[in-house]
Amino acid sequence: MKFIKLKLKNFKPYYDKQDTHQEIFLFDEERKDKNITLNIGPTGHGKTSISEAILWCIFGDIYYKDWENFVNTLSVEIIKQKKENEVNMCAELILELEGEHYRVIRSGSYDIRNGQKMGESKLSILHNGEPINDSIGFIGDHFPTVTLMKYFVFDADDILKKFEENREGSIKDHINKIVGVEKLNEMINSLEEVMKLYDKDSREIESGIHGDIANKIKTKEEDKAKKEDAIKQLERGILELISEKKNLFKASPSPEVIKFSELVNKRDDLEKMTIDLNKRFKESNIISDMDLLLLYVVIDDAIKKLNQRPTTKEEFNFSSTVIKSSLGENYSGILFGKKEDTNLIKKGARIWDEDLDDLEKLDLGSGEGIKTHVIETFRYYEEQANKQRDNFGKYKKDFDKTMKELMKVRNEIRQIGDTTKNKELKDKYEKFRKFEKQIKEKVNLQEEIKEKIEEEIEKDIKDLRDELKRDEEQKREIKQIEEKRKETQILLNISKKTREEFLDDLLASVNRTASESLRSTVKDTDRFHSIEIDSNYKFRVKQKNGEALEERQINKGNLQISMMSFFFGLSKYLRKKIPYVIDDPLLRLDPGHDKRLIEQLSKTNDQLIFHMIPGKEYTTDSFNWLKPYINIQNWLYREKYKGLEFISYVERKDAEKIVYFDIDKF
Amino acid sequence: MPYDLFEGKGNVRKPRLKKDQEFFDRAKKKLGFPEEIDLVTFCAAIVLYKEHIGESLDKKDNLRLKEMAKMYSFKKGKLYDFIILNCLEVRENRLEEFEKYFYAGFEILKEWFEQHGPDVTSEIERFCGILDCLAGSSLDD
Repeated sequence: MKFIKLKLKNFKPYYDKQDTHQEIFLFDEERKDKNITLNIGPTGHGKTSISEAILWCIFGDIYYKDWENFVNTLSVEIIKQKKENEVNMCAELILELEGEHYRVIRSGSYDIRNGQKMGESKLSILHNGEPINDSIGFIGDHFPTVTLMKYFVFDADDILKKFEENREGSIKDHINKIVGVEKLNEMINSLEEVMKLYDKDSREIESGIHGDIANKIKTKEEDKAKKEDAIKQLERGILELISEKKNLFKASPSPEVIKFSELVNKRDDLEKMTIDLNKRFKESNIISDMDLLLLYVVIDDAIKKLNQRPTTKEEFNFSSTVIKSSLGENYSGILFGKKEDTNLIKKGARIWDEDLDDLEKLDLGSGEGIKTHVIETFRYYEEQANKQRDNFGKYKKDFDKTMKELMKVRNEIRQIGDTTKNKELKDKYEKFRKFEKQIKEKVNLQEEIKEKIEEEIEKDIKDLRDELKRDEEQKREIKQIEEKRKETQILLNISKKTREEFLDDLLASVNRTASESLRSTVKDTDRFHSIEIDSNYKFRVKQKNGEALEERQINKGNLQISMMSFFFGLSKYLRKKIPYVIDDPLLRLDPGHDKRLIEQLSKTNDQLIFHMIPGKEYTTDSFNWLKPYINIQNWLYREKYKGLEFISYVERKDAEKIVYFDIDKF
Repeated sequence: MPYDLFEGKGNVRKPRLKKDQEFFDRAKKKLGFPEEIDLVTFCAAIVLYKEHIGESLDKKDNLRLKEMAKMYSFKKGKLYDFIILNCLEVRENRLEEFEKYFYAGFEILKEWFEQHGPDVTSEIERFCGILDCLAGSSLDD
């Protein structure tokens, strides 16, 4: 690809007096064996604006969204004077691609009223005078991204300055830009985060899983089956018993047998009643007082006897002692009243006095009289005896009644057995009853087992199945997560591999190209044999024997040329045959190196558009060694138009002849 | 001291002969008495009742007994002591007298069991039987 011509209208300092556009010739197809275009001019004369115009033309808003700042200030003033509102800006790049010419036209409008752009810039590409359908696609197909385009359109001075300031950071930045490692790293980080989330989700779900439920269900079902078997066995037993029962009485039992049956049932009930009664009796605590039931008559008699018995001498003496201690010094005697009250007579009192004022109640205190104590003891036990007599009486009454009934029933049973004189029948019936009892027991047992199956086992199984279902759902969920995780892992692996491969590939390619460039640029190729940048972005210059030079062994000039070699190596890696537009290409390079570098670059036949400063880069010496490669020589001038603003203009010069720097003209 | 419980004697005694011991244990179990002393007092009560209603009984003197319940755990000791002292008017050796009553009752009980025991199956039936045998229908009032 060659950039043939650039046409600019109201772009930065490029203002056309005729209000059309300025043309900047970039490649003369008549001299296609020479590939260097020189744009010579001091700082501020519009060299960098050419680079900016090319990038805006190709990429528009993607390159610079605030492109309204590119508007030519003179044109704004003139439009204002014309009382118009809109300034039209345009950059047109005519390029040659595989023998065909294309016109890439970028245009935009600037609204002077608010100082804003009027919408987005517009792109159109003409081929043979006709616009092509997919102009954006054309740019995408033939140019790298705007970021990578900066490896073709750049300021060499700026690049080297940044490299000197932060070598590894700068290398890393360039490499990452080239291979998109930063984006890849972001993606890898995101994928790793996603993986962690998947793992977390899986763990959380897994913690809710109950475990070996299937086995628990199996055990329960086995238990159920066993119980169902037991029911069947009972069923068989019942059927056998029914059959045997039927064998005993082919027809239904006779009235006698039925009567007999009723009596036996009654007997059983009564026997059960006596057992219950006895149980209650045993629990009633009467038994330890059964002696009182016999003693109550003895106790009753004892109380009567004691009450009638005269007071003994001992008892009298005991009573006297009590009375004496009660009287003390203040009383002279005791008066027994008509109402069985007992009063103390004060000493000196006249007991025949009618008012009896000097009497006081006798308080005998708590001392026990012997007779009284014995009587009290008897009375206590008399009371206990009566109570227990009543209790036992009730039990006995119930018991006697039940027993009487029982005896009667037993007697009747015996009588039936005797009157029928059919002991065989009686035995048969006993057997019949036994079978009935067994059947009843078996049926009850069956019911119990069925109930257990329904209420416990089946409920447990249902609960377990629900749990199992939940577990299975959760397992499915985990499986889905695992699948997603697996997919993410694959993507992660691919991303990591891609990063490594890209990096390895890039480094191998860049190292190779840069080394070739270095060897063709420096004189001492044994010493400066190759450039090696490792995966940690460490920059090394190696000797022919493979040993790396120490930093102090590389002077600034050699370092710069090595770095430039690396930089060109990067752009070569992009494998785009597009022109280089380089600001100040020789400004920082040592004499000798610059010549060899340019010679080396020229061999690639890529178009090289150099913006050079006269007197610094563009000198007699440099012109002489550049001359064989110069395709076009442009000189950039500027003037103050109508005393308003500086505007730039370009003059194409003879490429074969040196132009001396005329300070007055600048 | 005449008013000291059973004149301060230590323990009530129960039969020492193996045969008697076996019956004693069996009767206690069959009648459902919680303690041995309950059987002892029940036996004594039988004789006291019989004498009260006018039956004259021979009571042995040389009893073959061995020590059993301590007096302080014999809750109804005072009742029996007072009966022996006040109703039977025995002033000395009252515990020995009580033991004679127990032993005489024990013999009666043994006899009852020999006659009725095998047919009777429950505690209540045994007591009803014994009391009916001793007191007839007087308990039914």
